[in-house]
Amino acid sequence: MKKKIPYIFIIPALSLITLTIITPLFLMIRISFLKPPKGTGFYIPNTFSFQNYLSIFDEYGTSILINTTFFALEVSFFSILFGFAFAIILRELSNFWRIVYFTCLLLPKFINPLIVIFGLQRMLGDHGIINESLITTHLINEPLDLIRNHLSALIGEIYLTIPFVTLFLYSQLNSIDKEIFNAATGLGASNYQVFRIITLPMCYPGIFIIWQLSIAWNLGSFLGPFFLGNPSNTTISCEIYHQAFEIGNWPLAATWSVLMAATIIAFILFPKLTISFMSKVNSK
Amino acid sequence: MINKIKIENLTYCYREKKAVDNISLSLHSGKFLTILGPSGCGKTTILKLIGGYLSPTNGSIFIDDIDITATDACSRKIGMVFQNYALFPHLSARKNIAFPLEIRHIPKNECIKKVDAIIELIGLSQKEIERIPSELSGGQQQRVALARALVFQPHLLLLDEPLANLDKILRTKLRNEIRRLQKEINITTIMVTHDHEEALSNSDLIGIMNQGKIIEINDPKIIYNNPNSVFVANFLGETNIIPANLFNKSISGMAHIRPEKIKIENYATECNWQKKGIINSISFIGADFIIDLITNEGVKFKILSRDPPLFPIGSTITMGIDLESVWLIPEKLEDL
Repeated sequence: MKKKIPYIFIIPALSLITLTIITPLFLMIRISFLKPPKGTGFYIPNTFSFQNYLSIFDEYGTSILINTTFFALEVSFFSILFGFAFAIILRELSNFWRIVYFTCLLLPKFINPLIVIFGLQRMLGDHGIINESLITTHLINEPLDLIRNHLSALIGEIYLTIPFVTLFLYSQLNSIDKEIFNAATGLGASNYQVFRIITLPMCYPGIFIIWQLSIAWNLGSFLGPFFLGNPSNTTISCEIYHQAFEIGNWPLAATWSVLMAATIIAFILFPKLTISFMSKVNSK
Repeated sequence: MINKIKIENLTYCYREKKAVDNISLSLHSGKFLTILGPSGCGKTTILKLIGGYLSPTNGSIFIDDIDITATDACSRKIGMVFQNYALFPHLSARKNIAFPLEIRHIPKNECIKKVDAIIELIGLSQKEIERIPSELSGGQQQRVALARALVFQPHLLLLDEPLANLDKILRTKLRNEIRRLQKEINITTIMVTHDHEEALSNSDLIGIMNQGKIIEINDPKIIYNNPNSVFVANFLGETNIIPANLFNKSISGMAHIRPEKIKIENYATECNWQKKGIINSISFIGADFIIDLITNEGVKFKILSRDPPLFPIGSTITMGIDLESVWLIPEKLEDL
């Protein structure tokens, strides 16, 4: 009896999750096995086929898969690179500047990401601040192609990912006792040696976890590639949007969604598994 | 190896408060100085200033008459053991100890030789030093920290409350070992502690600090028996601060005598000054008894005695003091 009581308390939350997440997920899985529509409608009801799953691995589908994976890898790599640098700077700042820095870092997160992306679009566009200032200073005559390419899509997604990465790595860095750095310096290590032998290796577990998480986030990246990228770097999310809202092929969109959800869940669970594995190794 | 240290007018201000206030001292090579003081008196700050982790507001630090005040912490060649040891948690104890050598690009086989030599000196086994710090006990971590601070033959060893996190038995053991080690390698050492027993047993010199100032710096025996102020007397353990006119009507001021110097009952008869008092309380502390005695002038005495008094609380007994062991504190009354 005693053991049953706690379960009563999770019923509200559980029913809400079932209603809003688990049910649609199962509906989506069901739709993914339907046949694509012919002419009107979004799907042919009461059918069952693996056709959609097979079409994911055709030439076009594979290119999207590869694109998405590489894109996520690139974004996570650069986010961690810059995020770690930001976190190190953040730790060295005085209290006042740290607050200023935090505000600048987190403000884009409080605003709708769409607005942030539109802002970037304006900034990088042909008449954006970068091109305009370069033209007025006569460094270039023609505006540079800064938008609708791979780089701008990358910039957009990195911009959205960096705050999380920075905060995570900052807390990781901050959890290291400052006396440890003092000790290393006092024993004769230069700043670079302290970073290479002490700071960086001590952050490896954190970097590893945030790397996996940021890959999971960016496997679903949509805003950057959609608004700032070009069709050649379509990601899974863009393809889902395309299939569901432009073509109206729900079964294929659902198939892509199932694949993406499965990958992201796997990536979110992966760090947890790694942590539990590492703690088991450490406790031995 | 001559590594004497001299500090001149060292001052460090933190938020306009003087954490270290105009301190000057000098320590000859191979000597052991203990800075003793209550928490927050600035004793750790002195170590951090000497180590180069803080830069002084004013004053200079000399090692072998070379001014190192402006030198970076990483080029001072001073070994420091931090209160929480500050071992690198991701490296094995061996790598921790080898760290100062590796960053100096000392060849590998020489590195191993030096590490082996120091761990033998410090009493760590080969098996123990392959573990990471979290797998070691407090005492072992402390030894690793000590080995790491000594392996690169620093000019000076700084110990910041090295024994504070250990239990009492281990503390006594390690304290003796630190002293043995210090004498063996003949390294100039400054230790900071708030434990007076540690200070008295280990040091060539004791400096008593309060509110950023060094109040007295002297030989342990002198500072214990003949302190220059009431604060110093109280800080080095239980004591009696008695109005001096009790012993001699013509002397004013305060006299100081340690509880163990006062005899009672039969032993008192051998002393050249005797007085009767009423036993106020008796407490047993293991090897000794602490007896509180009140004279008929209302002066309280604390007496440390091997044997319990023959009479119960409330009875009158005789106590005796050798007047040579009474020390007149050279301090004005208003300072008390």
